[in-house]
Amino acid sequence: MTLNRLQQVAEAYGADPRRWPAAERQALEPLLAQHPAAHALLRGEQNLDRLLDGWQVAPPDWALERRIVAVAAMAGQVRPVRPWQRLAGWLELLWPGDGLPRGRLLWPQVAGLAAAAMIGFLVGISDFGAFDQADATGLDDALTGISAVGNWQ
Amino acid sequence: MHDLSDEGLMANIADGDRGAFQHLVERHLDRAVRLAQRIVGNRSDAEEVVQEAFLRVWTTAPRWRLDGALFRTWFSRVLVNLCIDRKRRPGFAPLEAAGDPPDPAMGAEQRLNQSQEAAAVAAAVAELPERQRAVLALCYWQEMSNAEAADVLSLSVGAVESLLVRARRTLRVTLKARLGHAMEEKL
Repeated sequence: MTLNRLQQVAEAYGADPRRWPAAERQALEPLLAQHPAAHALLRGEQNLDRLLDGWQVAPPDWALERRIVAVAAMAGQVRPVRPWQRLAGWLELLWPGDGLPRGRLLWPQVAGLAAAAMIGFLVGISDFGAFDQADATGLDDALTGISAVGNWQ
Repeated sequence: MHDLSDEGLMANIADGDRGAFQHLVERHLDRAVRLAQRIVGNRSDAEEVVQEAFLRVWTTAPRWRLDGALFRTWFSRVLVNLCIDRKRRPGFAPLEAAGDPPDPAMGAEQRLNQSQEAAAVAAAVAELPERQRAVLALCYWQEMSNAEAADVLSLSVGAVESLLVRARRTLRVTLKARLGHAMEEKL
């Protein structure tokens, strides 16, 4: 550690070694005893420290604490959104509520959506016979990329 | 509850425990108001910012994750960001920043000097760029380590040190001008 570093530290953190970075404090403090010039370096910083210490801020009025607690009591908390809550939110967007309780409104809609999906699935299965083998192979290749892999080899 | 760490209190607050919230407010209110007032420069704005920061603690506690950071660091970050936002608002009027009245046990002249010096420091700090003001408030008055202040402000330790040097140099020049020749030789 050098006087140069002592000056840099004092210019940043002030003259009081208790404010200096802990990792450097032990190495810098002996310089104060060894070099009279070190004290001169700190003198200007000591005066600035004295001025900064003179700006005191009054402690808070405890009415503020009561106000903060009262305001929080009126506010809700933001809870993490679960996946099923997200799904419910999307359904709510599709079928906005009309004033009925949410649970009662939602279930018939979910049942309707599931029934529509099932009908679509059944219709899709019954139509598979219309595909010829070439179409089916082409579709399969397109989905898995097998043909492309074959071309690389 | 008094034995619980800040992080333990946050876990209880996440479950809606209002007692834990009140305890956390009691523990950090004094420090928060002092930090906010030194950044925004006046008491009424400082109290509003602190109230908003604590409300954020309450509302977001269920989603708060430790992520290796201490509550104190996270809360200081919230508070400093709110202070900076407040100072950026159009029409913000900073000063009323003289702070505590001087000690009545002093002589009249000494009291006047101390009061003038405190007002000069408050005004000079209010003129600093926001990051210099924040870093000075954290490292000097809150006595945070440079590493913790760097974490609060999302800066490197080197950047914190550089901001501190610039802040103190600017203050020295400004205070010489404000306090006149009496301080010229000392600073």
